[in-house]
Amino acid sequence: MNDIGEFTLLVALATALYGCVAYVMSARGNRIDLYLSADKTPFIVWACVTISSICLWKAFLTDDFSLQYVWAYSNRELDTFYKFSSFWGGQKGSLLFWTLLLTTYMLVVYFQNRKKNLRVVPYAMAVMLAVVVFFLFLINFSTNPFERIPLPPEDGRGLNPLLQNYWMVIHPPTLYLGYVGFTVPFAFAVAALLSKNLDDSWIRLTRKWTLISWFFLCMGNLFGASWAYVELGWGGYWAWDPVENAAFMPLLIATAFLHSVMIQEKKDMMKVWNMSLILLTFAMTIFGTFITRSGLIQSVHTFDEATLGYYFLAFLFVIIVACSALIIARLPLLKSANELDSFLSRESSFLFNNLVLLGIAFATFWGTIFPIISEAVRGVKITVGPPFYNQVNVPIGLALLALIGIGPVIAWRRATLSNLKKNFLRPVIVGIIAAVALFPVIPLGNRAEIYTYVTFVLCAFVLTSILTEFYKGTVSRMGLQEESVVGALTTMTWRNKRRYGGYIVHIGMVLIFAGIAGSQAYGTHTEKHLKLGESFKIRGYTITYEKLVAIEATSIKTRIIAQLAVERDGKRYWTGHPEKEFYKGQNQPVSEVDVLSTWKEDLYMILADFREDESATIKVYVNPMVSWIWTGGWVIAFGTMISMWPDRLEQRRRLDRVRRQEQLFPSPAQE
Amino acid sequence: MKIEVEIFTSFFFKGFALTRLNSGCYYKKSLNKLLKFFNQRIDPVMKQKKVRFLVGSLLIVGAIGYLITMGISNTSQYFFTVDELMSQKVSYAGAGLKVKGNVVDGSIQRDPNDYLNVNFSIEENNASLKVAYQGVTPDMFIDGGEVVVEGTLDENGVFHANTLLTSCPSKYEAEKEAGKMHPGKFPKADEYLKPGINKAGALPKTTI
Repeated sequence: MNDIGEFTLLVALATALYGCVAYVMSARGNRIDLYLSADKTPFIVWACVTISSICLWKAFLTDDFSLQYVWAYSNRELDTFYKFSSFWGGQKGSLLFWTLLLTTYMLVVYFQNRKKNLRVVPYAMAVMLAVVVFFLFLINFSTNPFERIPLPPEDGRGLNPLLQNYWMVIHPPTLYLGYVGFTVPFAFAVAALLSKNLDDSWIRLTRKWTLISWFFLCMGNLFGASWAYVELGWGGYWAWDPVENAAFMPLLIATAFLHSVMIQEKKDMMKVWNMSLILLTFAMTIFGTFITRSGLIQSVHTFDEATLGYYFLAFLFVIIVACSALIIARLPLLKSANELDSFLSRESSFLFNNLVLLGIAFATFWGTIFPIISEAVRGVKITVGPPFYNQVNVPIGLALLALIGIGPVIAWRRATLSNLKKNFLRPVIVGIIAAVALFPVIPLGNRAEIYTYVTFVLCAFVLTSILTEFYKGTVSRMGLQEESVVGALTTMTWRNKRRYGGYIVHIGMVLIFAGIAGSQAYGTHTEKHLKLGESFKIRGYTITYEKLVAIEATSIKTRIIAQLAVERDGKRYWTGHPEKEFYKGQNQPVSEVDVLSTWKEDLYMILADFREDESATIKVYVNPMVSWIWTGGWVIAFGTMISMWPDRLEQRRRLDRVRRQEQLFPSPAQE
Repeated sequence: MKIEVEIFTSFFFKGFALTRLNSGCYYKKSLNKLLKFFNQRIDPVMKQKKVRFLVGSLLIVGAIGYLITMGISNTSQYFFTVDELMSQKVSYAGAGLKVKGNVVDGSIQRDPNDYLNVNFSIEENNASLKVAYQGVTPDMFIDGGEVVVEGTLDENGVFHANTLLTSCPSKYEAEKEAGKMHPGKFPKADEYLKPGINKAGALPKTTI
């Protein structure tokens, strides 16, 4: 089986290489025979990579420790569930997994498009195959997952206990689906440039792909945050760690892209900008991989410190140089048909939203690479931590929040005083009411609390402006169609999926903003070393340490559990069981926290340490509003689903628009 | 020349050869296009608008740039390993520091009255540094473990850490790199549990 896996990888590499060259040559030379031959390669590459992955999975499930990779990330006692997910537990397997996802995406694109767009699709396939070639090259010649151990050991080393959490099965694939997905819009953008088909067809073809990738990346980030929250036991969900940043930056740039393509679709503007954004998004996914694999930057997520990072750096360099050259060569074809008219218009609010998103991405980028730059320039390594990111990104983030409220409702082209009044009177009034109402209630002692106050006020403003949109649409529909409120609301949303789906995503964002603000400013924590029966108070909770129990859960796992009674207003309210788990073969115990989550606040308990006399160190956090963040995530998921749903009406409307435009400005081809 | 190339090279190389032959003039052509793009006439109204938007965008970019520079100068920390810190000519007392090193074997001392008060030393390449820390220590905080401490250095050369981080996964990988290939060297049950807790009868035992 292992030989098959190794061999198919080589076949995949050769085929992908051939396919890449053949596609380009067939498109350039109009050679239909070559095209027919090239058109078989995506499927062959996919099949080979899939067979190879199945072989690796089989090795994991059958405890084949003759493979070095299986030995390093699994052992006999590991749960089948985790054996399955060990596949992407380390560097080698995760690269294979990446390739598997990429080829799968490629196959779907292939089946969707092979019968149409013969001018663009061959180039797009060639670009995707080129990316596949890069990864297959790494897998074959640098980090082969099928590397053998000459004398197979009896048992494996086992999976890092930190990774033995159900999130391990959910979070990495989600994130990878997002990361890898951006290859598709990128490939189509490059294909459009190469084939000089520079209308918005590449954007329309890849809109769904961009949305899907964005969705997975967004969910991947949120899943990562909640994994860190329940597993790492430090009471937080985001640490501005380089690897977190690596996943966060493409998300920001993709968000900018997602918004600015709307301007290109509707107004035929910002073409160069969109090209640059999608190039940058893809470059950022590669940069993120570079950070993770190079060990150049200190992080808690590090894979092994291999030289692999430099392959990614080289790849990144090639992509950026080649694509910039390509965009510059095509500049004359990328002229915008329209110009920006006024600061107070939807177009310019999109422009500002883009600038702000890129600003956050750049600040994050700068903070991430600052140690390297300072070492190169000044000879001293200077690092920046969470305070830097908070200080810089919070004000920019607030500007972004305000734009969420302004952008979707402000008039196109040029907003006049009367329609400003019509659209913003209500939200502004609600904002002011919120500001006045919250002022006496909320503490305004330090900078964080002031920011939080501003965030809440802005949230009220944004929420009103979105809900007003829903309200207006519903009311007018009810007047016309005589429908019930619910009926009108759902039909309206269903008939305009993109628009209202987007609004729902915005509502999710507002919830996330509120949750972050609340938990950052009003959280508190205490750590106490307690003997049995002792208790302490935190935020109205009385916490009593009742007992400590050791349980041998399985042959490889021992759990030490502390029992803590939580009282409130003199009544027993909850019993917390934070624990520590000791795994055989790992000298490092894992803390399992216990969280009582309500919409108001999370009570978060950690068993930090314990001693012979059964005294224990307990750390307790009170984190307000954290559950709002997760709720916001689900709302975003719901909204994205709606706007992704296939929509015939949308297609018809687009065709109408195209027809109208063609009547107004006959395209040069028809003259 | 061109014809010869076409005749004598196989089809596979044709594309590349052609591109190479044409590359000189291709480059010139795109340069001309670029010049044309920048030299095109813009009518005054449009130009005024463009300038306005340019100024607006520059203001935003400037504001973000200002935030970044202020952020860096307010919050940055110097990052050293222990030996690098010790060999510095300038004193870094009072400045924000981040220091990496390995915990000296047997140096971890806890205050008997306040369990959360910890003193230990870290070393790297024969240089060592005393560290005082107040708070819960991470799971991987053990003799010989690699740690990163953040805080300040006082005049007596004691480092007051307000954050203590252990970097575990890289160590997890490093073991493999170092060639410790064979399992079977797993610690026995009583080696990996902390002293005391595994003594039979010390705790009520339950099984699931």
